[in-house]
Amino acid sequence: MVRVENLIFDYQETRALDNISFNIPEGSITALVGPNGAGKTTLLKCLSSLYKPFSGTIFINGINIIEKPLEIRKSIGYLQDYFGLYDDLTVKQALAYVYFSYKCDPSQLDNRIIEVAYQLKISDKLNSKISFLSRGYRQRLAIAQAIIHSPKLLLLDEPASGLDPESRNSLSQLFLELNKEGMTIIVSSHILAELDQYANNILILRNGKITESEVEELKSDINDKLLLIHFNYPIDNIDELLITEPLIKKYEIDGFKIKLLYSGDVADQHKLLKKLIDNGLPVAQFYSKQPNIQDYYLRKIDEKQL
Amino acid sequence: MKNSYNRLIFNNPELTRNIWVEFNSTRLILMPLIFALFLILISTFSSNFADAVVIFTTIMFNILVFIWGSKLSADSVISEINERTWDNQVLSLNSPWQMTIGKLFGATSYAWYGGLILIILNFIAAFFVDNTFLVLKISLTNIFNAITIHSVIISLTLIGIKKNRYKTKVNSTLYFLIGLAIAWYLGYSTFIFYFFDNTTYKGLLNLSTTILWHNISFEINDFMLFTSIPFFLWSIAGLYRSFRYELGYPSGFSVWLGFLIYIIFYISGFSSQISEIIDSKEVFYVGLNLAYFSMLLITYFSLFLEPKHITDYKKLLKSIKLKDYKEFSNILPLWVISLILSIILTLIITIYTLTYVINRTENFFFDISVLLSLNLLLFLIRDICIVHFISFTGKFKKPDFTSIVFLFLAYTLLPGILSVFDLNDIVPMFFPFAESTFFNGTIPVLLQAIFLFFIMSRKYKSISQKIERID
Repeated sequence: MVRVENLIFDYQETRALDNISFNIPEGSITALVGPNGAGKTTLLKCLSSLYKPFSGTIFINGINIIEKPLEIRKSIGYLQDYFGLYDDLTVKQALAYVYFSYKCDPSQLDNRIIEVAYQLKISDKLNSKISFLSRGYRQRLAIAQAIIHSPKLLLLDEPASGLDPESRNSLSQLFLELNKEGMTIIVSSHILAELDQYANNILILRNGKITESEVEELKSDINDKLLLIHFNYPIDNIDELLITEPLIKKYEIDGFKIKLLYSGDVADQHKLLKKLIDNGLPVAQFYSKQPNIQDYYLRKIDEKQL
Repeated sequence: MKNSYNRLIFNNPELTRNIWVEFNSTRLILMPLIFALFLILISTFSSNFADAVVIFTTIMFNILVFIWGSKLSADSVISEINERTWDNQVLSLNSPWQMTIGKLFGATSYAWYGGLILIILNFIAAFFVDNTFLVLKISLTNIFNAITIHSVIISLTLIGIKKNRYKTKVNSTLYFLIGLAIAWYLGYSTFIFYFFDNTTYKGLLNLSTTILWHNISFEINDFMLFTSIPFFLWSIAGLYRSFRYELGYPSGFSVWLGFLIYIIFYISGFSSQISEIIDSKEVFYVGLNLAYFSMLLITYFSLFLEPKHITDYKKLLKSIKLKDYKEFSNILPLWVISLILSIILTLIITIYTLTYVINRTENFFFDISVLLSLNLLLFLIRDICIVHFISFTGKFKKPDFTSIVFLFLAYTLLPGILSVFDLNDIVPMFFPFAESTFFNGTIPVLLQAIFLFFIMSRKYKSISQKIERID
């Protein structure tokens, strides 16, 4: 769906994107993550054809958007991080304006407005003036505007910022729904904990360079899992026991809780639990936790000493 | 038009959106109501109602469409930047024509609504005054000039946002003031005559002012109408070109080149004004110089208006290296075009002047240096290097303003000090003088230009390398 090759983008005295290349498969939901100033917004603006890079190529659906930006615009929906809305219009007018601006079929306008408003849960606000909308409703309207022309590729820059947990959850559901309809989505987000709910692909940007481009690739780098053990009371000298276990890569003791980074399989886990009980330790809870995208990301940047 | 949403006006989403915002039933009624009240008031005080209506509608048109309309035009694109809605407009499929019409008549639609009422009143009243055609001509000129000003302002704001590409806030005041300056200039001979010449439009009749342009004699008002039409057309073409660029369409520089050639033709035509006191060859010479000075001024003006980002020049050099002429013509700064025309005019003037010096007649009107035009060009090139050097350093928050201050001081302070110390022979090194020679004018300025080009290039290279070294 998206193929980027040797992309370079410079600001006045800064190289924002430094010779980056990656592929994004059709039908994926890609989380674009990285620290502030990594180049996420610049990359999204290049992908949307708003910014023209210094060099490199961007192919979307096989079209080089640097040479032919106009041919791809109908296929792209873009929501910028600090978006603006026409406060003097009603929600319905704003949606109609965007719909007409993308030269969509006028006879389908009403149906499409109803459809999108339902998806974004703004049906009750269609006749309200935008200036009277709350932050959450404004965010939903902005997303509605980005999808009203049914784009194939949706680029979202921090779409969940400023939303309450309930709205963020329904946003995740919306991404999955749109993805099911065939939309490829790229989401830049700081709320890493929620990316697991919908993202099946990841791009990590650091200092204008791509460090990882696939979740599976990232996960294969980190095979270890987290083991969490709770005792009835704090155990003295527990570390003497832990260091004898070769499959424990790292551990943290917090009172009666222990957190282990463990590389063994389920059978090894069983052996470890048995050993603890055989040693007479009062195990109250013993469970493993699969690391999520946030864990992977934090681990990765920790390794790279960000 | 709060409840409208599903019908496009003139198949133009941008125009439609503006009309949704600008018009509601209260505003629709308010404007004619205010005019009606004014007219009632005028009818009680005026002995000749039709005359008074002509004056009132002309003045109101100037306030409403020229001044307020200019403010609305200046805000039309800038407010989109500041409200962060511009990116969505760029990404939409609105064509450059739709945006040209949408912004030009959409953002100013309410001012034009009032303007239209005033024009109708003016046209009706014109049939009840002595000089109907004169009033109609003035009104038509005003309409063309108003559209010209609005489109020039919007074009300038589009250049402005190109310059402030990565900024989130842009100020529209400068563009509004430029618009007002043009409005004042264009509106001068219609608007101001009402006040200062017998206080009524009849004053215009007594003016026997004629203008000789390319040896054709015009009444001043005929000339204004005659010239307002091409300027109106050029301004629309310029705005269309600016929108093409901004929306990502291939744009090139042909419109700008065409406009500059028209300016050369238009400005040089005024040399006929003095044809009665000089011979025809000198008329041509004066015309060439008028055109040349216009090109110099336009080069300075566009130099300060246009962006001077190092990244843009890197792209330009890359397009030359790759022989990508489509990209080259798309991103070539507009000041380069007027600079090239200035160079061509310099050559023509220098050759023409040399011919005159050789075949000089006693009646030759202009006793100036053969090298003046060349010196002026070298000063321009030197200044281009200074402006770019200051811009490339990145040390100044407002590099163009810094450059203007620097150049102002360079052209006033240094020559002033030299004059005070009676070093008048050295002054042409820092200020273009008609009496300058090859040694105290041309050579020193050439050396300054070469030196500044060298340090500007060095700065460009060091910044480029700095960007590429960043890891």
